[in-house]
Amino acid sequence: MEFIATQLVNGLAYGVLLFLMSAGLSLIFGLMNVVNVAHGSFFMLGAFFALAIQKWTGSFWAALALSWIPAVAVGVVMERVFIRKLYTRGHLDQVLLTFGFTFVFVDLVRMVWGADIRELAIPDVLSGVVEVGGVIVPKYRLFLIAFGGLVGLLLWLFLERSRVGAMVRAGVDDAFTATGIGINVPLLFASVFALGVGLAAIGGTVAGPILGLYPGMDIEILIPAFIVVVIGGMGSLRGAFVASVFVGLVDTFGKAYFPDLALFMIYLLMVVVLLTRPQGLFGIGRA
Amino acid sequence: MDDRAKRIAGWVALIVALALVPLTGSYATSLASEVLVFAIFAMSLDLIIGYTGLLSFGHAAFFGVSAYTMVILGVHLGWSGWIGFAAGIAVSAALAAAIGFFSIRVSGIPFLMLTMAFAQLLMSVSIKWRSVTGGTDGLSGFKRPTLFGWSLDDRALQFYVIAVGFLLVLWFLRRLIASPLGSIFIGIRENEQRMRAAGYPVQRFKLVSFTIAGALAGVGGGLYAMLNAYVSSDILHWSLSGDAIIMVILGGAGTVIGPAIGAAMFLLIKNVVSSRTDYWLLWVGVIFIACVMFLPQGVWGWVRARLKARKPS
Repeated sequence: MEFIATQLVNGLAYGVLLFLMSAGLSLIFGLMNVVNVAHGSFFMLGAFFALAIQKWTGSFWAALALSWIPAVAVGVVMERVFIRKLYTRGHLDQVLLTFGFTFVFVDLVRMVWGADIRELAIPDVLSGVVEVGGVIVPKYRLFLIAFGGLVGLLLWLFLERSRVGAMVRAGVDDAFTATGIGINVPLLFASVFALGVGLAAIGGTVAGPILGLYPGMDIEILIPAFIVVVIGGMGSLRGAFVASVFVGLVDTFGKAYFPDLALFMIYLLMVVVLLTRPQGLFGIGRA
Repeated sequence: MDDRAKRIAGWVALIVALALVPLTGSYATSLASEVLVFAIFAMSLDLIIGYTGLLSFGHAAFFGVSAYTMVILGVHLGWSGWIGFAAGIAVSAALAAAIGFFSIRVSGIPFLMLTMAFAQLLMSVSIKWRSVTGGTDGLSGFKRPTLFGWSLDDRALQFYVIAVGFLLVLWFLRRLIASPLGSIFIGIRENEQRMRAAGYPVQRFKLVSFTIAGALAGVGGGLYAMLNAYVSSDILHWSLSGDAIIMVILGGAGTVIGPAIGAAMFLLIKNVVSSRTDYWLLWVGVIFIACVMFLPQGVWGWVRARLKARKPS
């Protein structure tokens, strides 16, 4: 029982990281029709910027509050200078372009921070364990789950309840008509791209204390995040949320109970979903 | 000179150039062998990407499974490398037909993810099935076959065998693209809906393209095993599929020889730059980004367009 509860907490915490990645991936795809393979790079950049900020200020909270800013700056430059030029070309060119960026970012990180595994220190408040209903769980993972829930809620409120959110939804449904009724779609694109990149960077920051920081962590999270997006349905925030939790749990329980099949589980999950429902669980069916 | 004479002159020049390679020393010969092996791999991938318009991120599966088949049959059962080579190609083709059967039901990103997932699943098998594959340590102890009594342990002979394989694949692909079947593949790339409306069973032809590409990747994989006499799960990893995509795009998707040129460029960058700096992937990335942005037809595509423009029609 206790083992199951521990795995549940671990799985949910991993799901939160996947959600912070896949929410942006999915939104960017839904709105801009852009597949950003370099999304994992922003996860990695966010983590390393956080490391630098923590070193400088000595505070995890400062790192969490600030690390997304330089990452978003890099992302906006990438969108403005490069990706924008390819809007008129197909998906595949964007995949290729952003794939090229993953090489550049990973080597830049290696150049600046080296290839060793680094760790982001947890603040004292969140270190150690706490007993919940007879089960001992690490405080930090609980914080992560709560944090993910909060970000999910804020995102949902933003998309469903705010004026800008309505514009984003309009853009996702039909960018052409949205332009026609006076929405500044290019600006909206840049904003959503920045939002997605920021979420990925925050994801990297909160992942730092549990996954460690190293060049290559970008791909390590990118592939499961892509699997989440494909399973959940590209362009659907709800799909990203549900599939993140699902994949996080399947992966964690899979590794605990069938360590030999650990690599298999989530790939197999995706294959099954794609073959039975190609547009994903909550997909809009146009990808 | 008419087209036919030009074509023959091109082949003769290529064959003479390849024949002279072993004179350049053993390092250059090894590098050239590697280039040709990956050229075959990249050219086979281009059949899917450049000619049928599907971005596969799991092509390493077919390259790898062929190499594994050959080395496993040789090491565990003592089969000759030549029989293993044929078996490897057959296994690759069958695997491509099976993976293709499922993957072509979707397109775009789901296709990319599915092909990658299948390749990764295969890699997990190669890691877990230690008794047969050697796991992460790989499988060594493969004895290279002999040719008319000469062992393929000889670098120059290895190169010539690989060069013959390369020429055959190149010739086959040129014929294929010029054939009615090739036109159908291109038709699917250009406008899938129109092909469907014209009555072509598009899915079946995609599967044919995918299977041929898998079999040709198997040729590359077999020659890889011949060259290295060793195989490990690295050759099933998605990053090898990614490398092949880079080769295709650098050289020119939708051209037959372009990906071979891309393979040469990629491996030269890798060898030259990595001897000077640890950060050679940065340069690969920069060159690749520049290519996607400014030279989407690839190096060879660009050259070919210049040549065509010069020719008065």
